[in-house]
Amino acid sequence: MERAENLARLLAVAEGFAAGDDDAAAWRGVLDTFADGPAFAETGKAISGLSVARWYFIDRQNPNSIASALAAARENARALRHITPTETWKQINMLNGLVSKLTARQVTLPKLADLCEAVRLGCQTHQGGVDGGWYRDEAWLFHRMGCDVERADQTTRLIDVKYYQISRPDQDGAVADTPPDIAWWNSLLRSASSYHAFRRRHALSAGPAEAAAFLLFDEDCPRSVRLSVKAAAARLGELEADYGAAPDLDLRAATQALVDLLTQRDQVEPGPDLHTYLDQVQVQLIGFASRLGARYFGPD
Amino acid sequence: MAAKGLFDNCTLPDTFCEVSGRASDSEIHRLFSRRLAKYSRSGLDRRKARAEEEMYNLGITFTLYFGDETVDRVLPFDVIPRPIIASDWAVLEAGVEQRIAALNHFLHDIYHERKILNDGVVPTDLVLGNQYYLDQMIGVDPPGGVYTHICGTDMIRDADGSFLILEDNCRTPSGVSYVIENRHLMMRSFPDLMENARVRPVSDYGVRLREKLADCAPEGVSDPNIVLLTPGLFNSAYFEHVFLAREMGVPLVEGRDLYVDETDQVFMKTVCGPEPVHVIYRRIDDAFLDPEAFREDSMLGVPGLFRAMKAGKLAIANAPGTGVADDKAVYAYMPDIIRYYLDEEPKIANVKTWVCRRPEECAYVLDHLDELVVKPVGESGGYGIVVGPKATKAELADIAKAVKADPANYIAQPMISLSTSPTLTQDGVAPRHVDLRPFAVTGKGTWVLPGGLTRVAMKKGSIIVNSSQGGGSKDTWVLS
Repeated sequence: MERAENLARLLAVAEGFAAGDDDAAAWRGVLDTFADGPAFAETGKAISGLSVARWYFIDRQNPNSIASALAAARENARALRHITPTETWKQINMLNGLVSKLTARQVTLPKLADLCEAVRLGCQTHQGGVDGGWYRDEAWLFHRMGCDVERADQTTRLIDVKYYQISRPDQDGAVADTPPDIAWWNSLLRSASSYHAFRRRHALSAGPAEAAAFLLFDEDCPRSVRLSVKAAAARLGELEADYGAAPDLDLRAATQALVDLLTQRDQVEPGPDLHTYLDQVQVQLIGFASRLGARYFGPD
Repeated sequence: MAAKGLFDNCTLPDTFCEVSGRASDSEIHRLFSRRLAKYSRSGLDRRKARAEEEMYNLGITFTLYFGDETVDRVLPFDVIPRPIIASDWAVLEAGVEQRIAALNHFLHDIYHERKILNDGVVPTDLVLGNQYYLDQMIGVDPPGGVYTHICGTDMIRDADGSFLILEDNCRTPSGVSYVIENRHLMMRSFPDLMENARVRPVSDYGVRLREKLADCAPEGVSDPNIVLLTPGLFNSAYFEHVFLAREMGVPLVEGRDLYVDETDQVFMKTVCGPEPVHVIYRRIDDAFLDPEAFREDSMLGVPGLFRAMKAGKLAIANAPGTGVADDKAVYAYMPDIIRYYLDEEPKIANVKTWVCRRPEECAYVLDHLDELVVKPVGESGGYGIVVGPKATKAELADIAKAVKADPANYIAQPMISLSTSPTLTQDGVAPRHVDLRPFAVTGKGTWVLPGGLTRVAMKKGSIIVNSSQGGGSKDTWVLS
């Protein structure tokens, strides 16, 4: 659900800022966010607003599409239906029903914003059901940790692609000498639902470095990587304190490394250094998630 | 007939109507003739559409798999309830309790002293040669002495309104989730109709089931851990497994979540470490329950479950080996079985059944094939049934040959006339045939859920209520 919501956000922003269906560069940016360029190339289609939007919205062959994410969420929810609130199951079921019934012809660029809005609202309604209705048991803690990890990962990808784009040399080898225009980082913040909070916290002059730092390290921004990582670590602590389900050494080490990585700095310089750093964060997130799975859900 | 307008033309000749047949009951009169009859056709259609949409949204569906694609279908829901008046229910309830008491005596006996076989009441080879008879159960005492904890008894009503038992389902009967969800749908779709209606609630089924299962916990366990064992997500009844686990408030587990240690104790793996398990409500067939005791290739079961049960450390509901009592030929002996163990006359009769293993009955069947329904004894789900009056000459010749070749494999029954209940169809409210499956749970004593699954044949004239053949369901109102 977290992934579907993020995708919907990203597609809506991309659609808003692209100069139309044939603005291939803008839509390639979306593919780059998820390193999906090669997978898309396999479809044999040219990069256009419509082809990319459909591939991410309804294509079940694309494991990273909204349709695939919702179908996977529904299958997981089905397995957990006896412990999740009835409303959340119903909501996932309805949203999946809505998206899975969409035909290609129903997904057009003029309608994309509305469709993304429907998915975003659908996911947020689900989140509301979780917050308001899920008994705070160990299953809830795991659910939250999953969301935290997914959210942290998505935010790093979002930052990475934006900075990759602006720091990339052009065909002639020259690096942009002017800072990216305001729309670039506004769009970045908006896709993370953080534009207004950033505006409240920062001076008008704040630029890309501040925007990236905000999404990475802000302690109060709900989609920041640091907040998500610290939340996951705190829930792991709760699992031990309330249920006696202590992490093993591997998991403890992975958690500590991740927290350290996110708390030992407060600034980033856009450029290769940032890309390396984001890469590290993603690798550590994957390590954390796999050790979490191994410790609690692996074979004895 | 007291109902008017909407309920005109709701009876068929020589057929009991569930509503007008009891029109003199004051609660039926109040709810059906006065309240329900005031709804407009379009109002009913609208509420039906909304109810089915809600079923779809809530995922109260069968999942069908076509390769990678899944399709969810809802069981058609009819918004006009099927009422059962209090005095009829009292008869039915007592009849079900009696039947289950006799079944449990019978199952205990055939796995212990075999008195009923030795006394010649039920043929020995019919029981011991039955495909569902489990030698492994000989001499085993299930905790609490209960074999069939959950039982669904299929019933019909004859032309004068008497209930008849059509089939006992004492392995893993399904459908109870629909009973409760149908009531929720009715309460949501017809709050005005339901207001002050003296309809007995069905919502405490989960609590009662859990209580009865706890009754059968191994000795010395006062607060047993109960789990529901499902074959998994891909089972077509998975929704019901989820539903029951949630209603009981017990964990839903798959085979891989459980293990049995060397002391024959069953444990459930949790993130907080192993937890002992004392009672398993399993929705897995006998053969797949325990690869150590039954089918070795089972991936769904748990090695050692049967060992744990034999050691008295686990109750399995329903106990393995209860399928013998579901057999259609054993069914024919149920009235004798009731008399034998309880020294009472059956409170609800069987449908008249000719057992072809008895030569004189076989001769009658062969003479009257074109009037009778012939059924193979070991099959379920309607397989292999030949309906004489509707069969071709070639089909009749084939079944005659089959019966002569293996008489013990067949029984025959008359063409049964099912009762009808007013049902919303494309042509307005019309009579449609219904059956009834009440559910009973047994621990220390038996409790019958005041309701039951009413299945309805949505096609005009059809008596096939199975969901695979266009059957639907409706809420069953036990009135008080």
